Amino acid sequence: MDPQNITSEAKMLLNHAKILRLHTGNLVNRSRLKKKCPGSPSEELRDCIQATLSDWMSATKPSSKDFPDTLDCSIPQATDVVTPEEREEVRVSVKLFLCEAVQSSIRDAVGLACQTLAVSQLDSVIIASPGLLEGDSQSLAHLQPAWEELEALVRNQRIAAIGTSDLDKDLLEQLYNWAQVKPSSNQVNLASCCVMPPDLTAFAKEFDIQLLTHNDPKELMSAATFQEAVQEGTQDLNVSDWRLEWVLRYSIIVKSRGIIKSKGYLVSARKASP
Amino acid sequence: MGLLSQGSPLNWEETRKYADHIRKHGIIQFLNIYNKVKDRQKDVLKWGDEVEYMLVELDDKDEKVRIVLNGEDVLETLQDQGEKINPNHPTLWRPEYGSYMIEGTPGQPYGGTMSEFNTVEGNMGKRRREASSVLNQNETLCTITSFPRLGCPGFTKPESRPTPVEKGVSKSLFFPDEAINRHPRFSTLTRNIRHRRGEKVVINVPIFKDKLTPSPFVEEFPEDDGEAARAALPDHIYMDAMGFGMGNCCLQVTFQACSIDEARYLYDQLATFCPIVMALSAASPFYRGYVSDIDCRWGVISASVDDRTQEERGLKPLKNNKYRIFKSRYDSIDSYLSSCGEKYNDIDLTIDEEIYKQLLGAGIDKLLAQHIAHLFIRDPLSVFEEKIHLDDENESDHFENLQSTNWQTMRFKPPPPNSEIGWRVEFRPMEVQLTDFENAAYVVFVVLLTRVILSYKLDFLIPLSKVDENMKVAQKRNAVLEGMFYFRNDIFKGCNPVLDGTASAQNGLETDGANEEYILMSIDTIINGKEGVFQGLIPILNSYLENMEVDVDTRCTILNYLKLIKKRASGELMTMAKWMREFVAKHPQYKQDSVITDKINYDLFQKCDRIAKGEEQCPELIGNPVNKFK
Repeated sequence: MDPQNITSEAKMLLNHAKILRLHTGNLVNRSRLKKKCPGSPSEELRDCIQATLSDWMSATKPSSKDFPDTLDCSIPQATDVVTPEEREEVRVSVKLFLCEAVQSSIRDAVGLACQTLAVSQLDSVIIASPGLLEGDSQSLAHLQPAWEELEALVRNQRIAAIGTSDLDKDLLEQLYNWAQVKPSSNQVNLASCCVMPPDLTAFAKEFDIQLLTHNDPKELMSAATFQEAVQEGTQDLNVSDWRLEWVLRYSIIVKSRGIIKSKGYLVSARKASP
Repeated sequence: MGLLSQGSPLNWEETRKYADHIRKHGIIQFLNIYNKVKDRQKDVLKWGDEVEYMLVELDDKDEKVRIVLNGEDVLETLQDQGEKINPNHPTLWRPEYGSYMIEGTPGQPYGGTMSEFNTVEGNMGKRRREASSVLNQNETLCTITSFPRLGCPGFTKPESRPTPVEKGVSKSLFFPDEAINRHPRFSTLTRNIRHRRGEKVVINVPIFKDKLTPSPFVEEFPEDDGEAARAALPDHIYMDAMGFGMGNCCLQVTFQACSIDEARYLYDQLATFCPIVMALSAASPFYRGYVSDIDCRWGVISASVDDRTQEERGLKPLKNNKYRIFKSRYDSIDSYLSSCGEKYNDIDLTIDEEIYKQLLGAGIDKLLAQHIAHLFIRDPLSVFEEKIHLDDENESDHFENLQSTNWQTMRFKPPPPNSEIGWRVEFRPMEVQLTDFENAAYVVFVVLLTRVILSYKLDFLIPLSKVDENMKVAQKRNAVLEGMFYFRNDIFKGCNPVLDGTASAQNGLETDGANEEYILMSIDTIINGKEGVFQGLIPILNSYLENMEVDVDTRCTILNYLKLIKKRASGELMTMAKWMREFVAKHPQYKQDSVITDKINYDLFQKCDRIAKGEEQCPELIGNPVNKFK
């Protein structure tokens, strides 16, 4: 990209902001633009953060005197919203990757997704818990705060069904027994779809929990990779220390036709120090 | 294979008198349908497969395998105990050309949800078991594309002899009339094709020259009245009957599109895949007891129903006929139907000008009008006396008469009159595979491909003449590994279709149409991708699957299916054609002379039967999939 295209306005906005909210737009369309097939989910996320930032930087901004704390960085024409007429025909599913244990993240992410896609309720939200330290295993205590948030959102009818990712049978059972709103699904890695542990399969079947597949790495995006993507996207080598809070991936599927109408990421980052 | 009605069939002299009548009313019937349903939108995905089976007897005493000519009885039994007593019966059975063949389909079409991919193989298994259960002892049901000794002495049970004289249906030196389905449609088609053509059909397949194969390879035919000697080419396996083609078993898939525009788009896109998927499914290397040099049946069927006269084939100047016609009625498509395809229509298209004008006048666009006007250059081949004067508002038999005897790689299917069915397309090039696992894999692969094309709005179109060149390459021996195919390498940059009647917000893409590129690729590159050349269909399919909610069980099934396709493309697994060639080459009785004896054929079918029933593994052909559907 030609650095001259970057408006000073964009740089100022970025310098003043404390929170960055980025929306990649519909990648089903974007993949046409980029003429390439998305690689792994991490690669895809990295590419599209970079591309969105870079597009946003070069887009003209209305000059403004005030610089918001929360900077909304998206390409409006790349967003496909769900129209009320088609809402019944599509399924809006979300997977939320929490990178930091910030209590309000889940509410913010779900709210932003609803707003961005123009829907009042998400059909399903699957939560991927923050990456664990080496040797540490997931525990119920670890899951509970996030799950309670999700339950509240189900009660408020912002979400229809909630699910988990990569829980083994024991943890899924503990969660199931404790939770007020039961998990409706649990995602397992694609690599194990043909070698499922029988106890997990049996438990899921008994309690009507759908076992779904994913192909996401344990850590979708490291802090360093995110930092690089921001640097490359903004063409700024001295970019401040943005820390990734959460990544939300959505897909909008035309149910009766098996067609992906839209797919994209919402990303939230916070400036580490003022 | 199309429309079946009961009644008194007309011979060719009578049929030709009604040709214009049938064309005229066929067009009226088409227009009536079109005008009623052209604006249908939002139809859901429904799809179904069709598998053709042959009945054979394994005679352990004589060590012979013969095809069993009782398909009609088996069919009646299956219908009587199935669909006739239970409208929700999970299988449907239909007649096929050979009296040793039946066609099975799922009782209800599959829908658009992912978990239905997990039911296809199970339903195929149900069909196989259901049909097997009504057979006599020693008889079995095979999904083998071409019976290797079709047309060899004593290849049928009961044994029947050919009738190589004018009163015979085929007049074949090899293929007895008893092997043709008893329903009058099939013998009428056979005889009328021969009479229209003015001679027997001619099929010459190059022989595979092994070490001890005579060279030149020339056969003598004692009962020949001279026609065979004129028609047979040296170094070729000569065949002279419709049964050698239409007596083969195929695998087809039909989709319901959400609208006429989506159907036209899919028709075009899938047309480019016909040669590729055909080569991947190659399963028919043997003809009339010889090892041939081709791996796919397509050209054989094409020649077996070629009703064109010498004038139409360009051998004589036009005098009694209207058109020079470049292809058989059974051949690859001649024009794209979508606006995206228009600029790639580079094949000389023979059309009925009058019908074309009539269609344009009735408000049909040019692309669809020329498609129909091209199908309608043909004459009807089978007309029933009782079915000449029809209610054009509520019937479509005359339209279907020509539509269903244009056997092309793709078929664009308008809804039947007064039905709930939407616009459909049929994908027709695949050879049937030995096991239900493989057949399910190919079918699911093609259905997934349509979902990916529609989701990402991919564009695979290349000039249609290049697709035709691909078709020729695809049939050659070992084309799957050795063939190079024209294929588009920038599939994200093509035409931007509007398919569901709503203008979706595309983010400012230029589709200037400049620099479209297609290059020669191997099937391995097309399927698995190659760095810097093409991303590969399997990676694109996987990327689609990642975005769908797929349950683990279904995902495992699909994983195994795609693994089969992937490994067939890379050569890690053999195609059925290659596997059969190796079986014969290694057989102790094989004399390296390209001859498949009764004993070799028997041993081959013994083994095939055990593999198809899951009694024996065959890792070199299908890998080691977990059989979940027994």
